[in-house]
Amino acid sequence: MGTYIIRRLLMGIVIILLVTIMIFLFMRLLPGDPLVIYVSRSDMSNLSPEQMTALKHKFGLDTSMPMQYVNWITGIFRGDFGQSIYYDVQVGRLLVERLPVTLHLGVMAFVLSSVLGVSFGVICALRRGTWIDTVVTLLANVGITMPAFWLGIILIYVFALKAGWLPVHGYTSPFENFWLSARQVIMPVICLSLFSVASLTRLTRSSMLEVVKQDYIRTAWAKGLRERVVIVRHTIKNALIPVITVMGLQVAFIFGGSVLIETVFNIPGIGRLMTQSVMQQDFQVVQAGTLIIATMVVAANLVVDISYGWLDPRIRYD
Amino acid sequence: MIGTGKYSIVAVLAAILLVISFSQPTTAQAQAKPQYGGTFTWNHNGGVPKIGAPADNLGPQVGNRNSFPALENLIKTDEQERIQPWLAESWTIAKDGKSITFKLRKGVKFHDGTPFNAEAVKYNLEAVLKANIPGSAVLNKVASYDVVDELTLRVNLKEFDATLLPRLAQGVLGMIASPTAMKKEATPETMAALHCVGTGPFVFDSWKRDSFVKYKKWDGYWQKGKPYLDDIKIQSIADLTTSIMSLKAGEVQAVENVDPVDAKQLEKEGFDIYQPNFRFLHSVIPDGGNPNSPFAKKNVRLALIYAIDKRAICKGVGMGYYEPIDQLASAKDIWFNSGLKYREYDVKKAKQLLADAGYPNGFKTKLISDVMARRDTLVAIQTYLKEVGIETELEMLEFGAAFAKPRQGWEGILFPGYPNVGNMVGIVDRWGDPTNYVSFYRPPGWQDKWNAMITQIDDKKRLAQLKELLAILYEEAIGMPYMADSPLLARQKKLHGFDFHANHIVNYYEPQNIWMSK
Repeated sequence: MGTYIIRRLLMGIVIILLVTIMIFLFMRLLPGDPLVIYVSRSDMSNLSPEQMTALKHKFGLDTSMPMQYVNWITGIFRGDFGQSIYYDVQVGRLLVERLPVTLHLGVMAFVLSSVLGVSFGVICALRRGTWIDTVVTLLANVGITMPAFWLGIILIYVFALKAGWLPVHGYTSPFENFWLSARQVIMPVICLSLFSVASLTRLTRSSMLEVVKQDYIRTAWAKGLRERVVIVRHTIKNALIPVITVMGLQVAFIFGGSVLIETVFNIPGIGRLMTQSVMQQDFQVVQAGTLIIATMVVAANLVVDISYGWLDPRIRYD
Repeated sequence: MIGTGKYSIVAVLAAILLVISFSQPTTAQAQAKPQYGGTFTWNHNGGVPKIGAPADNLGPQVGNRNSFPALENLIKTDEQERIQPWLAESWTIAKDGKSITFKLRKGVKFHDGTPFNAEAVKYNLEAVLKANIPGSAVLNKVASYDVVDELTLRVNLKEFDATLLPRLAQGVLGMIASPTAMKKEATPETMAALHCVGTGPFVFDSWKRDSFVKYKKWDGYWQKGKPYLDDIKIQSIADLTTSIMSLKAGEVQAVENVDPVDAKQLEKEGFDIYQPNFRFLHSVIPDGGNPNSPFAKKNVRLALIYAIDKRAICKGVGMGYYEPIDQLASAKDIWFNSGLKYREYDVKKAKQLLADAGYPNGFKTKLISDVMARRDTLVAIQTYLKEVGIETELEMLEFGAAFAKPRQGWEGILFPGYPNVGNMVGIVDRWGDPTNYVSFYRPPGWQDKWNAMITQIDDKKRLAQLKELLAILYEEAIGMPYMADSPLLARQKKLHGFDFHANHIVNYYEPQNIWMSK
């Protein structure tokens, strides 16, 4: 087990390194000079060649590309993510400001989608062919095809504009004002979790239907076990293995979706920061943001891999 | 008796009508009288990257709009771009143009209680030059500052520059903050609270990077009885649909930069749509300065003008709000030249001009634009050009590259997404700066004429020189201005005095005059 975790950790580190190389190269290959963004905040005609050289040094652009990459990576180990060109502050500071917001929404969306997705899937499988199964499956199919940003606009129209129950946009920390925060995150969390709820419902349903046909389930019934025990201990636990794999992947969807949802609901999280930074070619911020998201996705998948052993003791790690 | 009764009733009715007829204007007047109180919240999509003093480099486009409640300019302009008093009550330009003497307003204090005086103005101007904020290069022409007395500052110049006063009036450059506050050491977190200390009607309250900045009423404002509002909250919302929904939901009272299609709908729903006199001037600019380019030939540049139906584009994208132009001026601008005939869309003439220039079958070129440009206009222009035989390969630039291109040079036709700011300084920066938009055709003597205009002291003569330069731009088809627009502001009917982009100044508004009916 320990060897397996170390091996997976090493693989995760390799994946993250590959991601950093890719994002570093992509940002550098974009046309245009990132310094121009900074200079557009100043009076260009005032800048001497010496000042331009000093600026290049400030943003680490005065060395070769491989050296820039090495400097960036070694900086991260020292907790230095570089300097934002657009905001003119340390990138680390921006991440500290924005990450809790995205995590707040992301964790809520993940919990909501996991609970609802698995529950709906189980109900559909147990009540296969009934009206509940038909309605939930239909809604799941609709949910999978519905773009999250479009749903966001529809929710705003219905619940904020017409009903007046929820605020149109914004974010408040729950530690600052819990009720306002709760009202503000309802719509974004629904949008972020919709796809995951729908896909988990479908997957859980089909996985459950697969498992209930197995001999060991028939044996469990034959032993005279109670329905709750058969379903919870024998059926769901076995049906969850593929579901857990997909739940790990949902982390990527949720954090990827935050880019759109945070823009629609005007939430100052990592997603909106990334959108703004890509537009402004604020390369240090984009690199750092991508690194953070990649790390979270890799970590989530690692947790998923480890959880297989608990779900199915037949799975061995060596 | 009956007759008397009838007369009595008529008399009473007449009296009532009389009272009503007199009372109605009084009621209307009462409504027009500013009311105190309330929080005014408005949305723009320009970001709130930093709050502080001008020398903290607040950003080229958003610095002033996020700061006007607290910081005021030394001078301002009016709708005709004439310099007007503000924190300076008057100014005198020496006959030789070698100095400008400002007489400052008496009794003005900063929010921290320190006095606004000549030393404070000097300190600010020196600080913004040192910080190298946008537009500050003009201050290199200042030789020295003489503090003549508490309220008199003489700015001695190496040479006169006609853009100095407009830059002080229209940009962040001329905003004055408290020197005492600016001297305080600040981090990015404390900069707003420590440095955003001006003479404006509101004092800084709170902010959140990229989300909002909030100001609260200041009782010590120099205009007695103002401001009317209790608070102003400026929000940055990237998505326009969300922004408009928050207006409709009543969460905000105004939204800036509304699309014409939305503006029409909002007008129908009872919102006010405000369009300032100030215009942004859109042009496409061929690389006529490149000797190997087809656009080096005047006839090809002229063909470009006749090939594009400017009226149709403006009607299509502007829904009646935008103005088709054929010279670098809106009809409302003082430099508008009525002697320059509008060149109508004429495919035949465009094809003939191309044939005369040796391109009877047209040619292939690049159409370079960026993410800030309207896609529908871009497609329309591409289609019009194809019709006369000019095949264009589209190259879309990201934000950063878009700012670099005009200074690096381009091949083909440049369609800048960010338009020409429609004031004298904006025109000089785009067409009179030899380091900017380097690829357009510059006829002999072009730069000398701009230099002569910029150093002209006499306002009337300078205006004539500007008109002459813009006539050359028209005659030589150096660029093709096609549309004048101004960002539309949607606002609730109960909001008064919030005229955005007023006084021919980008982002300008007067927070002290804003009020809301209850």
